Amino acid sequence: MTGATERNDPRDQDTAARLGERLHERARRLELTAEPPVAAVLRLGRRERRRRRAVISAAAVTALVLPLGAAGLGLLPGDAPSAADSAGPALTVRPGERLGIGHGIQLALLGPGEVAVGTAGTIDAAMESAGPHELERAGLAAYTLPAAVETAGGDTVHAGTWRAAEPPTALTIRTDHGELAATLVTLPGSPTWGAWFVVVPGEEEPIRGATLKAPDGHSLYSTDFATPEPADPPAP
Amino acid sequence: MAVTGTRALPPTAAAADAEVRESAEEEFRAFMAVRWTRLLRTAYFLTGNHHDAEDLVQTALAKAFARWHRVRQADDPDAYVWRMLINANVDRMRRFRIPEWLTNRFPERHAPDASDQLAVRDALLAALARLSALQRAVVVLRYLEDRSEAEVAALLGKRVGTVRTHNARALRRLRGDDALRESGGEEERTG
Repeated sequence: MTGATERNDPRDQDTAARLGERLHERARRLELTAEPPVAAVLRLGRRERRRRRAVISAAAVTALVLPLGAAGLGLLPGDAPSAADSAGPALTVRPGERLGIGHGIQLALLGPGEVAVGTAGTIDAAMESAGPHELERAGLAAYTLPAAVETAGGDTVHAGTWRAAEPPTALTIRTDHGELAATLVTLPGSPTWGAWFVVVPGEEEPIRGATLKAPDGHSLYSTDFATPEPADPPAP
Repeated sequence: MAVTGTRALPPTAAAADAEVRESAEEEFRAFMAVRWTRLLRTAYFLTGNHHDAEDLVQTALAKAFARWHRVRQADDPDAYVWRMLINANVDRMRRFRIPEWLTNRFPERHAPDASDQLAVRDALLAALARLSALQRAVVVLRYLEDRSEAEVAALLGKRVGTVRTHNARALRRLRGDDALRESGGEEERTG
């Protein structure tokens, strides 16, 4: 079933109305804590501010030492490569540099396991709220993770992060219609971790797995992604 | 005399900084006091229980405080903070699913995982718990907060078409669920 077909079910209106009624009924019966925990929030906020400052300082030093960027590869920030362009060697970008990854979607790599994805209007907020995910914090030697998915222009744009024990030269993404080559994105001087993106033709097309490959073609890491949503309920 | 002279001096840069920080902190405290209950209500329906809801709101507000200079200058500071809340919840749900991503087999059906162990207190919350984090965010923002598709798209940092698809999939999953039957949807399952 395509996204467009799904969005035109006449029964949705009734379901939506009932859901709205139930949510409002339940909300009226809620007993919520009236007083916010001000001291705890301020303490957590100060800690977060220190962490962000440390990340930004480290990123700035990296950018000064190795001022290599996507511009050097003929790709300017905000350019939108087509699906065909998204296969190839790793792109090197500066920390926080916005890279057009297709259909107006932008990606910014901020640090290990820390990637922001959004449109021109939302990428700032995505960068502000980005943080390293659990696998990175756990210090896993190799992984490939999906981080964002967008349906735009009849295609599905997927993005995520990766890490490998040695620099990979390719990332193969498995879809329901075969394999696609994703584009790897790295920061200067950090060839063993980064972000990836791929444009899959068709609306709401899932990805099923990924394989990071070494220069000689052997697999550095391979994983299958579980479905990102719970399974459909049985038909009534 | 000397004291009077000292008072007349302009404040030092450090003192001015401290004054700005205090002023910003006061502003943030006032912001938090007014939004706390609304954020908590939204978070309750995103997480399904009071404990996680409070944790989630604290996390979002702490991030907002850490970037308060940006948040207060945003066109819509409320939208900024709500977006942080939604993103924090998506991250939280993603952490529950990491063990699935590390498996080398694609599961035929959704297997129970840590996210299923969230306290489920009634049929409606049980129904919401069967949705993905994004689907759940979409329906809570659309039908509890009565926001338009465009507003939801802006809050989630998604395109309107993506929001419509998530919404339609969520409604399809919920259709026929006990929680949405003509009567009896509100009976509590457990304490």
